[in-house]
Amino acid sequence: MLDGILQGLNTAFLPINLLLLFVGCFAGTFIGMLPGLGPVSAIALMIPITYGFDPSSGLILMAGVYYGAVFGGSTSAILINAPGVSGAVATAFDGYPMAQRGEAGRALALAAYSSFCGGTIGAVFLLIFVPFLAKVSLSFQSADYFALMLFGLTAITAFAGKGQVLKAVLMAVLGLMLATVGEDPSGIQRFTFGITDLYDGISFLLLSMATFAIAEALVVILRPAPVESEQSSQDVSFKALGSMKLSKEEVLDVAPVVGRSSVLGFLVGVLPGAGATIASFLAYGMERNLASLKEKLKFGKGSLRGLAAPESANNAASTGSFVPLLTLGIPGSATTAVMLGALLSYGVQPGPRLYIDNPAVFWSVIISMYLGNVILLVLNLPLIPYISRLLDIPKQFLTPIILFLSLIGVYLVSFNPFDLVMMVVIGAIAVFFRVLNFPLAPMLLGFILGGMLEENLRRALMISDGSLAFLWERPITASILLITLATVLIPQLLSMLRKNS
Amino acid sequence: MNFLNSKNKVGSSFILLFSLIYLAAIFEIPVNESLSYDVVSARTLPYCLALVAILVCLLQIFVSAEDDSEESLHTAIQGFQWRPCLQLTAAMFLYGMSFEFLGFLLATFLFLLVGFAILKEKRYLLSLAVAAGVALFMWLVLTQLFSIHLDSGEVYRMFFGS
Repeated sequence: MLDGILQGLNTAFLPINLLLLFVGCFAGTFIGMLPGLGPVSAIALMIPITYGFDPSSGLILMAGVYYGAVFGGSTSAILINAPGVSGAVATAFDGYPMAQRGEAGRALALAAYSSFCGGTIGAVFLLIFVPFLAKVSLSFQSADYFALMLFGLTAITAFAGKGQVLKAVLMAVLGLMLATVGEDPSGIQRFTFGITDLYDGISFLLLSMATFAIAEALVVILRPAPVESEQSSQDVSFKALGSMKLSKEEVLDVAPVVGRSSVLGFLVGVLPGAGATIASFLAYGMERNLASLKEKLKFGKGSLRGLAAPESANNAASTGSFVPLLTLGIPGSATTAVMLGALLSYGVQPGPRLYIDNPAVFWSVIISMYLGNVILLVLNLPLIPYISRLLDIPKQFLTPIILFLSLIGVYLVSFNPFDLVMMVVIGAIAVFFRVLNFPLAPMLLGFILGGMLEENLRRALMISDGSLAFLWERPITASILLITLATVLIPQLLSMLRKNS
Repeated sequence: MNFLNSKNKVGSSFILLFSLIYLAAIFEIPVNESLSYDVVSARTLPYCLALVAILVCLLQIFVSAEDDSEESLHTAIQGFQWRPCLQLTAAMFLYGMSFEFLGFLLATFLFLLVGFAILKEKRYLLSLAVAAGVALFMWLVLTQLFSIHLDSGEVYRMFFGS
């Protein structure tokens, strides 16, 4: 393990990789600040750029973009009450009132310090958990992997919002269906309708760019921005941000909050499908419940604790969501799903073997995730007053440029104009689903897991000679399937019980 | 709530339609005779997926309880700016269709210019400068920095040869 860590350190500290990390943090902060574009879009936009890179460098850039986008989302939540990412919604509850009081600088500083601490605690936990889980999962067989894929798919649906479970299941199945387009594992063409451009299937990059980058940019146009948020953008970004200093008492006051929220955030982040949004709301709720009556009244009106809790939790959860990806090869969130796709396109198969076969990639990603936090704190925080000016670029210029970058990003991988047309069609359908409030993340997850699910199902069925007994023969398989069933059924049962009572 | 006014039902009906077409297309998948002894074929997973999708769609449409708190489709789309959204979609579609004919530089320049105009940018000179600047900058970065070959387009070849 020590050798691996040293290899990872060597790779992460290469000057080119440090530069990429810095560029990633900066670009991610900017993209994350734009309302409507989150870490998923930011990472998706980076994939075509990183195709020529070696896997470590590509992933380091993406890790920087990821953290930058999460931080950028919090920045726009604090400055203009428009969270760039859903994980930053709870940040706006107390961050924006602070900005309105003329304490935007302090709010941003606290957000950055809390994120840094959340990321640090998350990285330490990651360092402990990942090698251990990776070793355990080495004993997994096809049947276990099939059960794990099912668990990954159902977990994201189980954590879907109220009334969203069936829709999330449908979207995951839709993603699985799209994954069957093209050549099957035995070389037979499926659903290609004689179109040669479909023989290799739908590209993952095309689907993720169409459903996130293009659809989100179009939805921003479709939904007129509230006048208030546009005005406040002008107000705050031109105003002086105020001091960025926190007093010693304030730091001591929020320190336990940051510790508790980071641990909670990491544990929630590890659960597939839960992610930063749920973690930030849980941490916010927990701190409000734990606060004294006097402190409780400050929540929602610019409480430091109310800002520190979701910020540390969402960053720790972002780190935690890498645990299932790196150990089991199952993405725990839409962002890690996109990263899984990127890893596969580099020819790197995430999962327990990654830890053994590619220790440099494995450890450099973990180390660069931590370095990303350091860079955000040291470099991005002082740059915030300048970066926030980028919010003033008119939407009428920015949106077509984002659309162009998304389109050209996909073209640069395939050099096939057919992909551009297909991307627009899928983007339009994605807007339709967004309007109808159907979640797109499960679809992407289904699409990515589809290939692996089929391969493992096929292998498990062949080993068991067509019998479905492989589902309960091995204790690991049976246990995972039981957990899967519980994950789906328990929230439904609880909701039914609540309704009855 | 009216069927066409329910977001859940409209969305599920769309997926149901897609699943039925998908199910019909499964019968077009060739079965490899030499692998006929295999317990799994290229049709196995698609069959399962189509059946699950149809079942869940029907559940969503007919069985799931009506949620009164659900925002109606009519309310949800109120105030939407359809026109610029559709125009931008059309512009992207045309960008993809004309890419080989116009080439990267010209197609990108025109797409950006049209995009700015759709979003009601009135400073035409600035629009021209930004569109030309972005297209040229990207062309330079991709071709000169990353040595990526970008199609110069039929139009260029018509006037300047290959």
